[in-house]
Amino acid sequence: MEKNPSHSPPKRAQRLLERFIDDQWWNELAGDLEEQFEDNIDQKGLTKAKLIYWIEVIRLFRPHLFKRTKQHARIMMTGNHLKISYRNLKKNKVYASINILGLSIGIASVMLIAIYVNYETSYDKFFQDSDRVYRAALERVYPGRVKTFGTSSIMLAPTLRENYPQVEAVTRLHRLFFTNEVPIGFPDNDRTFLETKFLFGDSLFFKVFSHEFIVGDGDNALNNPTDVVLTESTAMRYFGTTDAVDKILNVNNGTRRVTGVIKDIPANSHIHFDLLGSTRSVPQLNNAIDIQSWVNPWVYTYLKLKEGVDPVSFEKEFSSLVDTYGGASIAQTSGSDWKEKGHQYNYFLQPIESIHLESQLDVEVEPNSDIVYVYIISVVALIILTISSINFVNLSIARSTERAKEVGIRKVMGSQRSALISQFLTESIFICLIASVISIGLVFIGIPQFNRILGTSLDFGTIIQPIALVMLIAFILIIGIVSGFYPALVISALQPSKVLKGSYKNSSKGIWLRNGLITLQFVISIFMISGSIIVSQQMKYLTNKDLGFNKDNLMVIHQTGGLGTNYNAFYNEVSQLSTVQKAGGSTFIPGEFMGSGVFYVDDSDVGAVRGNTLSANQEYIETMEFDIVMGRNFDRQYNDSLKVIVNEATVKAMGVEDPIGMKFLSNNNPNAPTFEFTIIGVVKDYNFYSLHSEIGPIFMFYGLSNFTPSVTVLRLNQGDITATVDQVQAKWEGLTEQPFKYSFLDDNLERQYEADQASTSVFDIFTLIAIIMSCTGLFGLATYVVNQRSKEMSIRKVLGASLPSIITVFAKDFLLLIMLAFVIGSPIAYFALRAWLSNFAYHIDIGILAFLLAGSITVLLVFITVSYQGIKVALVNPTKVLRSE
Amino acid sequence: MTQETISSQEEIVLLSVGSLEPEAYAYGIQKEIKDQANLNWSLGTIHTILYRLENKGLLKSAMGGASEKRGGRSKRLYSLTAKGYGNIQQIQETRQAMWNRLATNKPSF
Repeated sequence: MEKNPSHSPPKRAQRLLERFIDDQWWNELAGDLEEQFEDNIDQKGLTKAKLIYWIEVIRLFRPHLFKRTKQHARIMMTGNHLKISYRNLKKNKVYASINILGLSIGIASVMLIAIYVNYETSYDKFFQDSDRVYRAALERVYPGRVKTFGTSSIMLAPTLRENYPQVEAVTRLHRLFFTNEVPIGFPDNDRTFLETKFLFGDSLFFKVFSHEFIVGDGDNALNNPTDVVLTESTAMRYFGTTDAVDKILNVNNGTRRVTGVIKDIPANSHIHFDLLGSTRSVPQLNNAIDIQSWVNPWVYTYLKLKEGVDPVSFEKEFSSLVDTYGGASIAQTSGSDWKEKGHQYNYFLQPIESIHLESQLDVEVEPNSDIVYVYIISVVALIILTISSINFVNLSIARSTERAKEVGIRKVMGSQRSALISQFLTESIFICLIASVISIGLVFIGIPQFNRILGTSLDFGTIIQPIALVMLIAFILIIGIVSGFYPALVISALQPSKVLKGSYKNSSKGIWLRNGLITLQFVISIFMISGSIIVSQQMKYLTNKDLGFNKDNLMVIHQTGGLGTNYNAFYNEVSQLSTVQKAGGSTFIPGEFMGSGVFYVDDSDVGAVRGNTLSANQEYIETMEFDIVMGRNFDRQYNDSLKVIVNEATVKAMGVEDPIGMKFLSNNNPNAPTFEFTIIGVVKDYNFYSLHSEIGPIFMFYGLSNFTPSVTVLRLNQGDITATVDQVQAKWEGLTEQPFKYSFLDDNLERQYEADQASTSVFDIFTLIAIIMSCTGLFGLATYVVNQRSKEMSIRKVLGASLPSIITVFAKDFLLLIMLAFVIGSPIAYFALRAWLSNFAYHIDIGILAFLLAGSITVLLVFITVSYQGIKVALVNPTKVLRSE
Repeated sequence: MTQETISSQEEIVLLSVGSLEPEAYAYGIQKEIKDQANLNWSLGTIHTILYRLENKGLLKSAMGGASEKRGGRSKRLYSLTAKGYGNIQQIQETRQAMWNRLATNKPSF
């Protein structure tokens, strides 16, 4: 066959083959390949033959065919580098442990935070098509103010379903706003469970939320008012089996039949329930449907849009829906001129994936987190990583003094600079690898603690997935290279002749970088320390602020409504206990979610006031120690049945000087029966909700003689609290079968700040880590500086300098840097903290004291670290240091 | 005779070396395997197996005839050693014996 020169194998592939295949094999393999290529041209054409040639070349990448010499030298050198790294670590155990531990804490913190951030951003994504599921929330405009509710009218869902084809499915969810616990009983035994997570959905609930059924099916699970769906663990708790379909539960207003059991709801959802009943079993909701009420936002409406529907244009389209369908209903309550009066009902969509982090509306299903915390903690992760990398750089440079001779010898032996750089990079990557192995262990230990503090359910498994591991390795390489590069450059640049003569001194070129890094660390320290001081001050303020009532030693007995006619007997018995100072009853205690209403004033100059409402008796106001600033308390002596006590905020909203004697009307509809309530007293504003929100108007109505308070508060004497609780419980159990449930008001109030407390404690932990790491970095640097100046110090000593003055000389350099850091760090901290404090309606003012304190703490830490090294050098006999010249 | 355990890939390569001798070289073996067994093995795969078999002492090799088509490069020619021949023979005998038993047993399916 004639050989055609233009039909030769691809040049690049040939060159590649020549490069990596050992000469021993190259000749025959190239021959085989070429023969194959020639055959392929004839059979399959040139292009295909070239492609096959390439594939064959690539498939010849086999270790036994590779060139021997260079390959082996490289492996040998890397082996040698690793050996030297290991020996160096062994020689300097203190440095090695500071370095490795610091780095592993840094990496562990970052991993932990990455897992946390990953978890926080994963909320509700496990639902099928979660990117198409939205919640319709309500922006309610009242004359003069705006409130946004997570809830919507009960009529919204059917209206959307019937009139908007873009909606694939829509469902309603309800939670009992005014009841904390629902007692669940059974027909065949007398066990009772108090359930707090009892929600209600309509029959289409599972069309929107793809919960996985273990038994039963989502299409028919909530068709009847008596149907109820349990979660797996609830079914196990009740019946010891998940096969619970058709079992019967007793709920206070009737029996329920279990129609399905679903898998437990993952922690990363904004909706959790143990039991899901039917919305049609809630009488209040049925009434709202009967009168087609658009006024009361009592249910959450979730909708799934059809694929390809643009939520923004859909939102625009349905914004007019309230006018079209709900106008009549609203006109009944607010008058036909409701729009002119300034009322608006604007519905908008919230993607459910964003609710957990971005929704902070009134009446959420569960308290949500805040994306700010995710940002803060990500920044903290970055800070810790920066600190640990800076430490690494500083410590490596500090050690260069000791490595100088080794480098000198290596250079004399003919080592090139690139080889030295690769040696030091290998070393830093090696250290990073050890650190990361330790850090994985730290994460393993840390996750349960983290979960305990934050109440999350982070999973160690997240980081042992392939993708995470690849990212981890890439991350380690990057840290190793970034933080090893500068030291490698510095050390490899040493001049062998100088180094070996012993007159090694680092150039002043690097001093700016080093000082810059140290200043950055001080900035971070000052930021973190002042941050944790102010955060803890705010937390203390939250727990100690005068709330307008006395929260100490206040025992709360819940569900006293269950006593029924026995209430008075119970009340008399407990209030006569010697350890009970005072007892009173009401419908809500501070911290609980309350009902609200609009009240009109009989004076036409005064506008209507919207506020929260509760019923109470006179003893309640006495027991809580509310401060009556105007008028009087309720009194059994008078007929107070249509009297009301308000707070200062109400008076302010009314805009009158003396409200005593003015009347509130329950509505302003002349055709409806109207009640008039006369104001008899004003209490000083008290915080009935958390300090995140401002105090709004409140109306306290008089509980009539047959009033059975749903909560009873007891003011106890200091002393044996447990004994008192036992006595009260005994009285309770003597009168009723209902479960006894009590709490202490100060605990309840603290629980309002649980989310804040959790993030605070996380912040504190990482602050501590950051400070410790800054100190270890400083320790390394101090060692370096002290070594550099040991001769100078010895001469000073010979000339008669005292120990303190020698240490002062050392510390002076650092103090200047701290001052610089203070000037930079304080303003940053000030603005960051001001942003955080604005989350609270009631907060402390940021004083300069916190920053001064942070500065002093940093100075003190620096002083301790530096003096440790300074004293070590200063105590050495000067002859030892000076003789070696 | 001690028996080296070999994989079925190795067996196929040994068989083709035996049947192509004395012209058994990597590309030739590749073609033979394609023709006889309809398997598309890369030269890398085949070469690795040849290398392994030579190390096990089942094959020996020598450099030989260059040709115009190969750009004048010589081939490495493989041949079976006695041990290699014994090895595949043994496999064949074991198979045959077992097949005979199977055939007389008349499995039903």
